[in-house]
Amino acid sequence: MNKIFKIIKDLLYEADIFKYKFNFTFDNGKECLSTQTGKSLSISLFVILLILFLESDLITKSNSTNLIQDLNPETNPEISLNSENFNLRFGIYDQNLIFYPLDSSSFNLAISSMFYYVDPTLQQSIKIETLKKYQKCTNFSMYCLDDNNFFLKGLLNGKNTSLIMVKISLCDNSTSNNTCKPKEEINQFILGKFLAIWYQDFSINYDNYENPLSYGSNADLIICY
Amino acid sequence: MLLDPNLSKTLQISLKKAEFINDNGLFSLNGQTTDIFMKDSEINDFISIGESQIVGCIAINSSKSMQKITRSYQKLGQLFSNLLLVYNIFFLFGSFLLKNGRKINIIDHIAQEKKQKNKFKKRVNFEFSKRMLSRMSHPDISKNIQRNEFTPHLKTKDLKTLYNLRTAFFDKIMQIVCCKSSFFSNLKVWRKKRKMKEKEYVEITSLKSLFQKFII
Repeated sequence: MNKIFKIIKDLLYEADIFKYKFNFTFDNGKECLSTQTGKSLSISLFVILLILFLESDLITKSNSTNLIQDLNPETNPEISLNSENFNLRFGIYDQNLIFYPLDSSSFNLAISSMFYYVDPTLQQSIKIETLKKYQKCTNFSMYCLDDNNFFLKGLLNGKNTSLIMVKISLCDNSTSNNTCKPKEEINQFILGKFLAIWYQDFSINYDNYENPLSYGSNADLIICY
Repeated sequence: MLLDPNLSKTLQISLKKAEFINDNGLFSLNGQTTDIFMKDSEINDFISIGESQIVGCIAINSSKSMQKITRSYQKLGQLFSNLLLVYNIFFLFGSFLLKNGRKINIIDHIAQEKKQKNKFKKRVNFEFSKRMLSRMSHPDISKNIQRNEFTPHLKTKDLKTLYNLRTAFFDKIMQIVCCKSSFFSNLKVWRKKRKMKEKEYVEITSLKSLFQKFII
């Protein structure tokens, strides 16, 4: 019986999670003993943690983690472009990026807003082309649009599509009242020339947490022949 | 160079809309949204656009991936984990240096003492316990020690009990204080003051029960 009581007593002792620990105090009732080494280590730890915190990416606002989410809606929403968020410049250049002004007797440069849609009554695709006026830019050797208002919509081969076209075409006597230069001369001129466009683009610097967007212009070239 | 009137070279440039959410502040949930249009891709392709005299064409259209959401945030968790890592390293190092190391020394000391117990069993154990008890400045304990009232009653069995009690007491004290030298130096300070506060008195009273068996 005593053995059983002892087992129960031991079990109760082990089960007691509120056991009172034997405590012995020294030096005016202080429960812990502080040493010089402990103090030095504690201060060093505090200083290192403080330095780590002050130099952390959180304080310097750098090296941020980026979450990029792409959404693919079924229908592409319309993108409205205007002079505030879009700027388009273009021109004809050679391999040394020397600008060639417009010579209507050799070639024509046209920029237009194209809109394709399917007419429900006619059941055929209708193209609406709106030519944009342009002129020589004030400070650049390129052409600038008078009006940068565009809207982009849909996909290139979709039913309702709106896009921007920059075209260079050779002068054709049939449509230019015989004012064009000889074809050989035009071909010689267009050889090695580039149609170039500059448009506003953005780049994101993910390391710059406070001001990640940087504005810039993007250039694309296409060889004419 | 020969021109193919039915084939023109067209460069397609796709623009995508990017919705950039920039948190205004470190932990702000109210992000500022900025709509931007970025170049997504370009395609060099030969397509017929139905106009014979066109020799170059650049088309800008919208990309299929129209919306892009970018959200930047700081690695707060990583910062805390780094700080905790440094803290843990220091804590473990400090614990080993200040506690574990001295515990080992104490254990070594006890083991060494146990080896010599056959030789100095009665003398060492008794003297050590007596010396330790004499450093207790509690009047009830010190009075008995000073009067030397308990020593005549001690027998071999009592000495063994005393040794066990002493070892248990010594272990317990060392586990708490973790420093033998500091323990005795504190005892010296304590003895000098000769005044105990109420709290210490209560604790010494509880200690008394440990020694009650052989004191009586």
